[in-house]
Amino acid sequence: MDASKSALWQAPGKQNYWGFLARCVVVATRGNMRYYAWMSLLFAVGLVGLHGFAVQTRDGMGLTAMNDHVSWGMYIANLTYMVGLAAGGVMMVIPAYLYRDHEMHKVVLAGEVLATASIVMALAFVAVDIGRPDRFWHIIPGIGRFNWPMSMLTWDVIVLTVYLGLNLHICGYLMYTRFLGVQPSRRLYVPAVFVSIVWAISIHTVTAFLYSGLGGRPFWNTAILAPRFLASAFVTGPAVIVLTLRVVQAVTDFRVSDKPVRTLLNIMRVTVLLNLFLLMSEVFTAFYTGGAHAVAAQYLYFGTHGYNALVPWAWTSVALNVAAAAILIFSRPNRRRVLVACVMAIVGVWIEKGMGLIIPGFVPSTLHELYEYVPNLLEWKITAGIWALGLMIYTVGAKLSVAVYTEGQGDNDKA
Amino acid sequence: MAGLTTQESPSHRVHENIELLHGQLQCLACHDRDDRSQLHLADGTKLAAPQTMLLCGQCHGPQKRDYDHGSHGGMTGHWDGARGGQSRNHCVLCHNPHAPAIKPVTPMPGPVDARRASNEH
Amino acid sequence: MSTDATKTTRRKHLKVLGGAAGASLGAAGFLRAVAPLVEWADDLDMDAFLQNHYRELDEDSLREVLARHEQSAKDEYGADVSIRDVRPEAGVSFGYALNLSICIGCRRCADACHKENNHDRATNQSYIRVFEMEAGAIDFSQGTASYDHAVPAPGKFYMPVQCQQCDNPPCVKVCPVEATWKEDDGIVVVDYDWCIGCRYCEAACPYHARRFNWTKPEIPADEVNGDQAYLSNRIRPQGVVEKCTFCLHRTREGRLPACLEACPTGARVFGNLLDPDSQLRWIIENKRVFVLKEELGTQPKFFYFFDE
Repeated sequence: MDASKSALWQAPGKQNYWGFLARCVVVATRGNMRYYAWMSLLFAVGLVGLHGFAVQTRDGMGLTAMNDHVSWGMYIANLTYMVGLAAGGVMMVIPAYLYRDHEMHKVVLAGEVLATASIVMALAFVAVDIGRPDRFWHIIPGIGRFNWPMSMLTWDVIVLTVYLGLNLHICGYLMYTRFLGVQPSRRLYVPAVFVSIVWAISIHTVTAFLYSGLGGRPFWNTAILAPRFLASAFVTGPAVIVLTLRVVQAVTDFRVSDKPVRTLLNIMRVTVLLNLFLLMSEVFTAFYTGGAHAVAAQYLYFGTHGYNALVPWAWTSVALNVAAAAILIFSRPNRRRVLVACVMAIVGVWIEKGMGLIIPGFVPSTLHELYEYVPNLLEWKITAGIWALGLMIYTVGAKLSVAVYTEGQGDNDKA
Repeated sequence: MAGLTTQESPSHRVHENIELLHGQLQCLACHDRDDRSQLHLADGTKLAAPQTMLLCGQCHGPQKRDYDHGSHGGMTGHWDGARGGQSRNHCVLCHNPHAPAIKPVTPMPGPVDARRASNEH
Repeated sequence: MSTDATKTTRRKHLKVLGGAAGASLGAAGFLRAVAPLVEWADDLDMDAFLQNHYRELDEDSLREVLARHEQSAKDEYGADVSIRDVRPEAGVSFGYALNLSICIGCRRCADACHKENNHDRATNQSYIRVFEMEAGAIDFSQGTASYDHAVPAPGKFYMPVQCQQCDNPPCVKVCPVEATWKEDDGIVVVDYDWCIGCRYCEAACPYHARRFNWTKPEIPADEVNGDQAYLSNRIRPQGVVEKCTFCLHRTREGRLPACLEACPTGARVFGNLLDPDSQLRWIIENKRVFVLKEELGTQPKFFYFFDE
């Protein structure tokens, strides 16, 4: 890591942790009109979501479109996706540290920031989905009652919290040493980085196990659920980073060579195919066997008994994933195509792993009843609010990371 | 006590309105020839009022056996005999002895399930 | 004519003003957004918030809890109720049998459950769902719980489904806070004051046995069943999961559950599996009983059978 101080950080003030935090606040709140407009928009959307959550808490979750047949919906769908994004964010770390790819170091922070923002969003999606948020303390080990190791949800609480801590530590430490203009001590962050690589795998495996361990839900009760989760996470993580790098280089003076992006695209070329292969395995097993256990897959892709709300979503997701794969593998990568492929992959996996995974687990119900679920306005509002919160964290985090690496710019960064 | 039908009370007028739909049975199979309000078993033994279920049990052995073991016929009370008894439905509380087949009834309202997209079945 | 210095100062002042305006707008917006939460928080009770898990409550605390709930039933529903704590007895393991040959699908059991357990009136909620099935197979995909014609209909049989009180319950496995557990007499119970409403148990149950309180239940005061127990039929709050408790407030005192008493045909049989002379044991030993989804290994305590 470069020991020289970035100019943006050079400012009068204490050269200690409080000074660092104060400087972070300054960097986060200072920007151009575009930045203020963006953050104000996100804040407004966040408030809309917060209000929705307040109304939902007071009047009950009956205000959502969920019911006793489809008892998890939009929130848990997004939770699942965000955990995947958090896991995928750490993919940048592997080339940087395992393969000593020095150019990758610049994007490591981006991966960590993505992981941090995603975990916060995942935890927010859990918070808005529990019926009694006032009883949150019941799940704190030692204070409440913690059904570990039997309940996979308790594993999820542990791995997500530790992962957040790991990422906050790594980001914070690297930024802090840069602020101080000192060489970061490898002992204080490299072990954490290696742990976070393994931990990223664990967060998404545990989340998959939440679903795959339920014998009463045959759509989820499959061994390849965890591999599918990981494959799709390692598509979306790099995709978001590639997108972010493009945006950052468009709105700031931050520059990075093509190499990190090429590495990420190479990773995606493999994982996008792996994801499609696992999807195909799942689809074959369901439809070739047929019978009662295939009704959920039937409902998802073709509809059943007149219920077909998810069909357009399912095929859109397949089309997006296939198109993204085709662009990445068969076409010569130009900037626009790469962007399009990344966006397609992000959206395609969001559908596939979110609504395309959670809802069919409940349709048909365990007693083979068919109740459709279409998220209503309240759920969209709260979801949008959490996305806005996540984007705010991500924007600030990206801004801080850029500030860390931009040299001799003074106080006139364009972000 | 839960039940579906009430027992008809015999009277001369009722004779005209009795619908007999009980297999091949005729009146004297159960009613005594000289005292029509008296019931008797197949071998002629007169039955006292509390024993009338034995009459049904002559032919409907499996149901009578199930009844004796709590597996047929409504009941209220206790599962734990040590803490209380059970009140059992008499056969004719549900089965009209002249036309014993249970007639279809209107069920209680079903569950109000919100947000069905369309009707099924 | 303004110099660069004045321009900078003016810009600085505008920036500060703009910042202050933005911050105030933001704060005002935030306060408006969270207003319903403030309302909701006002209704929360500190004792309720701090209450420990049922299994950690000593006698005095439990008595206070019961008194508090009796008071809220009066305050919120206008009903006088008495809530007791009924413990399991030794030597008892409950089981339930259902005779598919004589169930006529009249739904009186579901209705009795609705009344006995103080369910929400608007949704006609019940722990029991009665399925009209096609004769010749046990195929729920051909079944329906929303039939609306005279019963029994020709060519159909009727299958009520409720909590199976499994010996290997998936719901108990997945609850992150141990709000649900299997008691010594076999009944799987929920501590409604401990449940956080995550609905993982509802996802895990293979029998659609669990219900979530999507809203606060609404029951007119004169319809409230005031004979209540902490773990069974007291009026549950919004945001928690609940399920059939085999009417433990009745059955732990030797009485029959409400659904059984309402059944006119006697299709339901209840008793102690550990008592060799019980009616339930006779059925298991003399009828060909089966359980639902046996391959899942849940070991239900609800036994179905046909007479022939």
